[in-house]
Amino acid sequence: MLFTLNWLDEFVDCKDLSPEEIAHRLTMAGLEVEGLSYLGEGLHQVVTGRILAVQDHPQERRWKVCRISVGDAEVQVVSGAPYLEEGRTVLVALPGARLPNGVVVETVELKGVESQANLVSEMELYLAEEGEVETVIFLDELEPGQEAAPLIYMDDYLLETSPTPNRPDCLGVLGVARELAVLLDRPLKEPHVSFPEEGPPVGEMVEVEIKDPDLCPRYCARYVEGIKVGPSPLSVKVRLRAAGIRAISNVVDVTNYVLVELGHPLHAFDYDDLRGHKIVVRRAREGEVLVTLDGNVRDLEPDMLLIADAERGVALAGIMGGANSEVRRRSERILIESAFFAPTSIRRTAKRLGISTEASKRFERGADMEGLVLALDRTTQLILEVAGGKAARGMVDAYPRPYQPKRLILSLDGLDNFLGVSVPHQEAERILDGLGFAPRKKMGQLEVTVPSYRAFDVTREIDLVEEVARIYGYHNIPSTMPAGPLPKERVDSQRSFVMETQSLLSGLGLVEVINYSFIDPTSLEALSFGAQDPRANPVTIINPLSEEMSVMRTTLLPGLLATAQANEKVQVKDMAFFEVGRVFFRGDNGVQEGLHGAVLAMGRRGASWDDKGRDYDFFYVKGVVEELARRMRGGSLILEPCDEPFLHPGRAARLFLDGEGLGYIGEVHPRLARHYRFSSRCYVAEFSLETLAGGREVVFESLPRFPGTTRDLSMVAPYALTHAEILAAMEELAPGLLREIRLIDLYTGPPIGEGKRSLTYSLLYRADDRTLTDEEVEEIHGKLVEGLERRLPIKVRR
Amino acid sequence: MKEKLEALREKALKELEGLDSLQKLRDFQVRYLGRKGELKTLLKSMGKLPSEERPLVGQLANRIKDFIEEAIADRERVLRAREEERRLEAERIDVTLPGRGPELGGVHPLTRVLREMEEVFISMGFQVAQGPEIETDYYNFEALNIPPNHPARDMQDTFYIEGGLLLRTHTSPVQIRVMERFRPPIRIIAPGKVYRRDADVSHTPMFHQVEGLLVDEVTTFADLKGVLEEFALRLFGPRTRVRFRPSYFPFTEPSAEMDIGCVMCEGEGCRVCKGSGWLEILGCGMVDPAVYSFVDYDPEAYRGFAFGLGVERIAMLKYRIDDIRLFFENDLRFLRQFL
Repeated sequence: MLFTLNWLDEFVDCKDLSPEEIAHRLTMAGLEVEGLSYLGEGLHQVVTGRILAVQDHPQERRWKVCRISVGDAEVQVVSGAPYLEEGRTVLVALPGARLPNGVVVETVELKGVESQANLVSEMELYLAEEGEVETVIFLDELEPGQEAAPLIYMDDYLLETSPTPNRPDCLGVLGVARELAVLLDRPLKEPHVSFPEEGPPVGEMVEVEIKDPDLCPRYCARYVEGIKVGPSPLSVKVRLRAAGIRAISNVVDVTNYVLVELGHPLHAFDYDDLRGHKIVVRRAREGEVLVTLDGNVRDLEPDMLLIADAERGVALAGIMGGANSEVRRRSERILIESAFFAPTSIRRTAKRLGISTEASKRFERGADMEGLVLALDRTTQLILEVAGGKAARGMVDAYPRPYQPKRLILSLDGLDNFLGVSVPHQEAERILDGLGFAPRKKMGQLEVTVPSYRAFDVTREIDLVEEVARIYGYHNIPSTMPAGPLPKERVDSQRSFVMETQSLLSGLGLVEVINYSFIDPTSLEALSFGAQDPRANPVTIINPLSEEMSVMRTTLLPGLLATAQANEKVQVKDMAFFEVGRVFFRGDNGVQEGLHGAVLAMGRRGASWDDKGRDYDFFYVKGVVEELARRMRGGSLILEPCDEPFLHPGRAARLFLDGEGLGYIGEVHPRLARHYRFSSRCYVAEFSLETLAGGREVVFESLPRFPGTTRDLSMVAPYALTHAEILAAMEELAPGLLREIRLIDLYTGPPIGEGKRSLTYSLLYRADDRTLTDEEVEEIHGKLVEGLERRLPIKVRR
Repeated sequence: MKEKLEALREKALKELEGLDSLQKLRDFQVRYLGRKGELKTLLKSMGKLPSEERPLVGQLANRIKDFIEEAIADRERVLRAREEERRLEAERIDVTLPGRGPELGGVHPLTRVLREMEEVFISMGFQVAQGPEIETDYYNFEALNIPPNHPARDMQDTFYIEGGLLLRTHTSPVQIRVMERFRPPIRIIAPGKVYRRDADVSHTPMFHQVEGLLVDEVTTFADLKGVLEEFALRLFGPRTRVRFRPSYFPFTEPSAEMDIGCVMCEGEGCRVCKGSGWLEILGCGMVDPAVYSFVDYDPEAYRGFAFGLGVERIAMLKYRIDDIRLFFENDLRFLRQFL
């Protein structure tokens, strides 16, 4: 909400304090002041000027050349404004002035005549728009040479606050003043409203019927006749503009003025447009339509609350008036509405129609059922002041469900125990009194009555605790450490193994990335999953920000591929990174979340000034996954060639850990790599972290006491025979003494024949209880070699 | 004979001084002291001496032999030292060449900050809890005292998915899930991803929060201040200024926001703190009794506080990052700065 300091000062004396101090005090009480500025910013070079002489412009007939006294100096101004006459006082913006509409004043030449200043109209002050104003501002009773800002109500400060949604009372200057008054321990100057009621009795003029008291428990109205609609005085226009509201006409402006001042929205109807001179508050009928003030045709639904006359809708209750009953220039008789509408109803309607107005913002947070009378009277008073006319005697008050003030009890001991500080009883009482809760002290307790402007917010003792605490000041509450016992039960979480995975992978030289959980559905399509694959059937967001972020990822791969692509675009070609995060699947009852880890590597690694390095390859990623599996779970990782559609068919495997499916590993299919315009081969692996997190227990194994003996074993084997098969055979053939088998060389090419390769293994033999003799080793090894040759289509090279 | 021996010594000494390599020294040793060396050759003629002179000459010859051996050893030390010096000189490298860096990996800056935050709370007896990222309306809103059509729902623009589910807009639902499973005393923090329909320089549709909850029978608002102040001091340094401002959240009462003195301008007022000198870093408050009723706790018996903070915001302040989107663009040139 926007309002000015002078306005606030009308309700609580505060101009002796700096605006910054006021902003700080309000902020520290929970009404955050987000903006503070001087309203007359840039106006220091604007002064009153008396026109000394007016001449026609020699070349442009519509223009006048004025000689103007600005006190101790004279300026010459060229202006096209009408009514410029000798002796009149105008506002002169001298060079250097920055006017609210953005104009910076300087001396210019206009068709051969120098113009040394600008004359100020409401347009320059941003109070009116082009075409709305006839001429410049005249202040004929004033002497020349005076600074303009105070004269045009702009020697003032603008405050911008954003009350939390529970405080509709602070959406009015009076509510803010009430806060400040308590904070400063100063009296609140409540507005005293009175005006003559010289018109006919209101009951003869209008009838109000509430058909739906659940949505409208109170509807008040006053009738005024003989008004003259015209522009508002400058003082009103300036304050409304400051509040961010456009001036329309004196009557409408008053309703807006009171809306800002007292926080209660009001509406004025042209009485003569109200058919049957009747107001009916009812739900809209099926198919009913209303043209609102902004000219939009609104299709109403049966649960929307409508203000109608005897025949038709005339306003969308609490949100916006109807065009058919709008107050216009020719209006002479008006009906002023001040009502209470149920917050949820207003909120639902406003949301469904996509309208948010100053009125709806207040009603949906909860208006003041009792205070609305003051707002009505204040409005009536001001309308009589600015538009003349006579108010009817009395007001209509349809009040089918009167407000029941809530009584609460605040225990002062309880207050201290809860806050951890001893608040002086008198201070607690003073605070609640200042906030309007009329506390009565009774044996260590305060009995309070909740004022109607806090009816929605304060309903329990705890809410009173908050009121006392925030005014007493959070800074007056000490800081202590909790003295309560620590929890006995363990809350389990995935934190430890997520952390371990992150540490391990970054220790292995990979960089962690974090991608959005929502992805582009086309990036899943690019992976060519089969229709039955659950990964092809993601959870969809109903209201995504964009199509590119419209489905929940079923795999981390699209994110990693996009990351690789983005990095290649900025010339980062060598990369190895990982991500840990959730994936989402459609489940039987809703959604199934899984925790995945994934790795991507491409480009080159280890290159330096004397080393070409080597390309990342399948076995790099495999090594990473193996190490992760070993350390996280300690089980045996098995790879089985597979045909994931997004992987190179000859370089893809499914990962199994102790027989359980873990994930996949492979080279990205060339088709997919082209899709992402990769400049080198890209290797990936993805695994379920939940499966990986078996929890490895490290158990110490005694160190060997006797030395072992190694034997190398070279063989030529057909390509189709895998390392795993050879290994399995050796393990099966080897007696207990074969402790380690390492592949130390792999070779293809001449002189090894086509379709064959040469593999060299280093075998370690060792016994626990003695040093093996050469003869023993020779015998065991010999048997192994013999057995291998018998079982496998290999030839051992001797 | 004596004279001959003395002469041999002189000659040897002189020659020794000119030897400039270990090889020449070896040759020299053989030539003088070897089996066919000059000393042996000279001593062979000792047979011709009268027998009474022989012991004396023998003694002299031994002394000379020892003397030459010692001189050789001295010379050898000198030569070895010189040789090593030469070798080392030849091995000189350009120490300004770049080091062979190890393959550097590392965690994401958000992970880094998150761990730091977790450590602080863990040291105060908090445990880490987690919950689903796809939530029901009940856990995300209703059980947190945010009924349908509550204005607080406007504060968080929600992503919805089929089946009445939604992407959690905060980590607060974890509070409810934990309270449903455990009785007080409870001390948990719940880090995780959250989602809001918002995207600009300071908002990404996904970000990270850490939720905290402490419930027991005696906790006060002063304890809330103590714990969170400690957190701020540990994370931003012991000289950090901290203040609490009243605020509003449907699930806490009283509610507060914690500000720290601006880390950029140290309170002078700058663009980051919008001139106020303060930065809002977290929301907190005493658990609203209405929340207890959803988890079947006796609101008369238990008291506690809850807080929630944005990890990105903290990371941006700590590392002076000016655009939140950098966290999710995953430009390795950005990420590597945090290794």
